[in-house]
Amino acid sequence: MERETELALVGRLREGDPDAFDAVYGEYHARLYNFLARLSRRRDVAEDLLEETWLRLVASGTRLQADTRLGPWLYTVARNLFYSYSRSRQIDESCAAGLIGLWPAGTPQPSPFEEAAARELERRVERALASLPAHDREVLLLVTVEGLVPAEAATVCGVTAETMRQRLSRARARLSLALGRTAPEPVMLASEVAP
Amino acid sequence: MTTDDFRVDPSMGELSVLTVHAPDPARAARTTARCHAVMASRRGASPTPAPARAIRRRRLEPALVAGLCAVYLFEVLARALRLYGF
Repeated sequence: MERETELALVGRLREGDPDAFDAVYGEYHARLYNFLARLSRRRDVAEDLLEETWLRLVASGTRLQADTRLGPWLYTVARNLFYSYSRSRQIDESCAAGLIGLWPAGTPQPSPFEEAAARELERRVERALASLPAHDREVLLLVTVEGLVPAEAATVCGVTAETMRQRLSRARARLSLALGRTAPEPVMLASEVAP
Repeated sequence: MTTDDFRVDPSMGELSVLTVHAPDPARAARTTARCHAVMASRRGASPTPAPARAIRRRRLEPALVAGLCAVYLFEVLARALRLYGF
């Protein structure tokens, strides 16, 4: 979304314009849903949290700062709702049950080998991603899937840019291991280099 | 490695195969209807914006409490002086 368009939408949201809400909704609804579904590993939970995210936007619309970045704002709300939900339900992060059934398999039909291979690869990646801890999943989803720049992802997660860089590095290594590859070389941090 | 390198890493590249799934359309329709209803109720609810009312209340409440405290202290002081014959 162009920055000018975004600023105009924020201005209209502050005035309570429902058309502006619809425009933002159209832009982010599916993306937020996929982010929440992969973060929570449950579609029904994602639907609930998604609805609450939009209601929070409506409730806070008139109090938005004029220069609000809608994407990071929405992902922050969605992420915080997920962690609140997890805490309230005391969800065991290590429990990976049900992660394979996150998305429906679709209608079985004969398909070329390439399509089958692509589906297999996607299932493998979904499984690897779902096996990671939530803190790794959110970083990978925000930066790689949702296309947020690391600085924005750091804002969403409430951490510094340096911390985000470390978390990205760790998440990347864990994903590689989960995909059955050798973990990449860890990033040497400036603070770790001996003087 | 910089953060931009993550986008060209093979593991990261494989995340691009993830399909964007569509949420339940019935649930989506319910969500938009609820949000529109909330927006409509907010538009028609109060001619005075809520923040203005909140600011007024924040200023009035401490002043009222301070006034009552002053009256109470004055009365206590007056009775004490009367008790000791001043």
